[in-house]
Amino acid sequence: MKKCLFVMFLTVILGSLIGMSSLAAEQGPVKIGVLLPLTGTQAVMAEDLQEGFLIAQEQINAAGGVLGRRLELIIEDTETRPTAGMDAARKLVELDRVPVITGGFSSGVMLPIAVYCQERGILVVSQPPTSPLFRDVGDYIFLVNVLDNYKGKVIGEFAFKDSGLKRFALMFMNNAFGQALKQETIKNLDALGAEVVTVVDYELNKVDYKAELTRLFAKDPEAVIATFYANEGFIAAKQAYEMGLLNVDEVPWYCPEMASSFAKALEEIPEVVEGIKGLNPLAPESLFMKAFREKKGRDPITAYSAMNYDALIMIAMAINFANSADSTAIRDALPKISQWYRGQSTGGDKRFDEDGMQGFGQYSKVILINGEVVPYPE
Amino acid sequence: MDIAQILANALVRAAELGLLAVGLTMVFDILKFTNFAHADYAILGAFLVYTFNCGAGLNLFLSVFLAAVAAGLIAVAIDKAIFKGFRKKGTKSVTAMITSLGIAIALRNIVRMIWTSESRTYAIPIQRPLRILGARITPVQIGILITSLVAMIGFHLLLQRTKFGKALRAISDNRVLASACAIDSEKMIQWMWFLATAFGVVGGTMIAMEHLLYPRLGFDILIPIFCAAILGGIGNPYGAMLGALVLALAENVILALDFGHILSFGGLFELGSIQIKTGYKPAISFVILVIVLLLRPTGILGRK
Amino acid sequence: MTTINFLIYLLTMIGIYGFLSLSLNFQVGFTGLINFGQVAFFAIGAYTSSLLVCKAGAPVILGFLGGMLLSGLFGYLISIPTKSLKSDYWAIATLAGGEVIRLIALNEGWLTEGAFGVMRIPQPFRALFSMDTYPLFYLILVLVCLAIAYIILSLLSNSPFGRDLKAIRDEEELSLSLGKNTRKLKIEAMIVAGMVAGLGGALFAHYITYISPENFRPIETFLMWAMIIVGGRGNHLGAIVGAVTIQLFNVSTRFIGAYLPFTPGFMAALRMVIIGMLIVAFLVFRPDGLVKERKKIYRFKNDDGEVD
Repeated sequence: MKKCLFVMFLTVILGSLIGMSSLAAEQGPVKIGVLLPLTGTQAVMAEDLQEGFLIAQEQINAAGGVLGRRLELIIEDTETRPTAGMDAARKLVELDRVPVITGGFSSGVMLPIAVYCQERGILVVSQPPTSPLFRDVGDYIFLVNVLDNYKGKVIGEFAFKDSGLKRFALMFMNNAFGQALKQETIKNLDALGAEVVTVVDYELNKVDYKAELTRLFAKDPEAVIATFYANEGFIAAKQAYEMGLLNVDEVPWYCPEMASSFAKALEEIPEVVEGIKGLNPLAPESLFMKAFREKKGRDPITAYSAMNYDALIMIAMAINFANSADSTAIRDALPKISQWYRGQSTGGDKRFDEDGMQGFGQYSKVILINGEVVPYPE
Repeated sequence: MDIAQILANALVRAAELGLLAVGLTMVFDILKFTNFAHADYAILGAFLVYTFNCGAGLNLFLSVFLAAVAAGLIAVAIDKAIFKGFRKKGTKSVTAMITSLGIAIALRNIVRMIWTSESRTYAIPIQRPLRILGARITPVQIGILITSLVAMIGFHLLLQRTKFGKALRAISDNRVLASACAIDSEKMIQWMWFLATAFGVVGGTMIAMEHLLYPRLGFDILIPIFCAAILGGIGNPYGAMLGALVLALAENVILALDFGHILSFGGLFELGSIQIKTGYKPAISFVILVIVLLLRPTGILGRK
Repeated sequence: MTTINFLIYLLTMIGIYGFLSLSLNFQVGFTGLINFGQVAFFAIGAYTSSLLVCKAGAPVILGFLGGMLLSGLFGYLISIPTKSLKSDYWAIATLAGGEVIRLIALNEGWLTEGAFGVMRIPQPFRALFSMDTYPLFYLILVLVCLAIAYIILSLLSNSPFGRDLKAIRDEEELSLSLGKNTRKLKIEAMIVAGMVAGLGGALFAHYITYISPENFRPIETFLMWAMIIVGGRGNHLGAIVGAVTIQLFNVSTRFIGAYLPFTPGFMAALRMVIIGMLIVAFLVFRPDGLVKERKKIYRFKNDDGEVD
């Protein structure tokens, strides 16, 4: 019994290893590796994240593919576990021999993968991980989302100038994304002469944020800066409303990532989040949004699916521009492509700076009115 | 610190956790093992409620009833397929506990296969909170409090006033002796699984209704439920209710406390504000759990 | 060449998980202690070693030793309450304990870099090898360490100490009545187990070169449990076989998936369903796991209390 099982496992794995490596023919489709958190703590967003890639893939292939070949995506699950993410990345690079890996979600999963890919000379065009640590990994690493330090500066200025208030309370999730954003926001508020009276770090994937919200308002802040993912944003907004804490006429709320924070809330309880102001990385009426709506019958939950779309389109354009599916050639073409490409996220400006980061992205100022994200008149 | 509001928040959370903790404690009381799959049975039920209510358009109460019955039957079926064999063989309780962990992982992911990972809400519009004694509380929350209270009273009557309850208690005390007294312990155990899971489904649905429904929810509420059950003394249903209340209060009060203020005798002398980092909130239930286990392993009320 | 690289990586990760399952198996199979916070040892070993090396500038070997020591100390600490706690309660307490360790790593940023994680953890003897040969060297390092741990644990479990431990697992009351100091034995077993898992954590950190609290969620503990249940509790070979089986299963689903008509999300869920069902099926149908424990003296009862 045990031998039988064992031999079975070995056959399966070795068989597939051999099968995979012989498939890497020159004239087949161009393969791109995609990492997605399909299981685990971030699985809630996975479907939307994946849709960004799929829509881009359909459009690219409909337009003739890359290098006259079909563009194929090999989608692997990171399970939101760094070790499983590494399994997936290694498989993509060493067995599927993809020249580019895109996608990824949390910095904890993507950082070690970025380090590994840099070492191997594999291009990484990743999206949401916006931890500043990515800047130093190397020249094969590109991000399509704006780094937290940039976002922190913008939201601090926006909240301070727009409200004219001095005492701020902050609420950010306790992961690399939230913490980097928090540090930058505090730094910029300090520089502007505002006072941060309370800082709340919250754990993701909890169902009860009442105690955190009580703490947020304990020292009578004049304004709140908070960011969430869709589920947490829904729960926090609902609970704050029910506790009488969400009243933007008395204490305005500002949010650095409007689209991802309140997507669920906008859908379910639009009247609650009415009047929250913030930044939005999405171009509200973009081609991507239209394609997404046609396909899914709803808006994307977060802006990240548009970023994934941008990432894949830019990769495809760079492959065609370089006339090669080689990592280094694509890497060299990518910055040029980003100068020309008009994106569907972060205001359309997708230019990479000298480190491959998004230094120039524009965030439009928006306000939530009648369940819609509308531009905020300055 | 708004004491009325904190109290109200704690009561609602206790009402939600309590029903789940009672079911957990019941299984332990009779079968002497900790069922790691309890919360996942409950969330499976909550998803069934979603399908009946939002998919098939049935009335919410009818949906909860149907889902509780369905999930209860599933729990009975799992017991027949797995735990019954363990009882016959006299397998150690830890083996049953680890098995329940496997069941939990499998169930949670079956839910994902059927309903995907997407988060859902029951179609209940947002409600304006009422002000009662200075605390804001929504009609849904009042409904949760009442449901929980009614369920607990019903549970109490069932245990104390019915033949079934007496038989159950007899089995809990000594299964062999109970069988000797012509109590069909296997049948009782099936009823117990059914009831514990049905209670869990009501609790799980209330949590999902107040917050959000997604497949991982079971795991996210597991430790608080354990904590409530153990705090009150596992195997003791009244303890479980009390444990849920203590835990809910602790979670809400500890974050609001300013230890600097307390240490300086209410601001008598200058001492900055010292508060627990909010990042440690999930640790509150763990730490209370560990402290209680160390100081009083039988829980606050003890076991019988 | 790259296929071989992948195999080397796979074997290295199997080796690292081998430490964790060996350690867990030693606790469960040899003392009957149900540890649901095994990932804490992994975290402590990984963090101690990387912080000693990255922040205090210690040589890697000191980092490894420090990781083992602190992890052993943690084993000592969590074994103290086994005196008064029933094993169910202790199991839940360890689950909580494991999460507390992760939360400390997450919230004490001054020490652990918090959510950002520890970057650029140096690799031992990295300069002596090229990019292509280093993974092979590390694999050998891991396997040699694993072999040493395996031999030490085997010697321990065949010694009078090991026999006493098994006696605790099977009949605690009886060993107590025979005058065995079961408490001391349990503590010693936990310290040893902690050190073995801590070494696994340190080897992991210096291999991947980046760790963050994300690495140490409870799911890791559950996977380790699947390993020892599938492999077979109570014997060291079983622990290794389990680590190999579960790791290979996890990776192989990535290949099989390409030939099945399911969405990746569905496949991912299916994989976890199978892991859960494997745990259940083995406990029900083959409680001894793939590799059965050889029992020389215990002819009357095995660990599930069935009559042999």
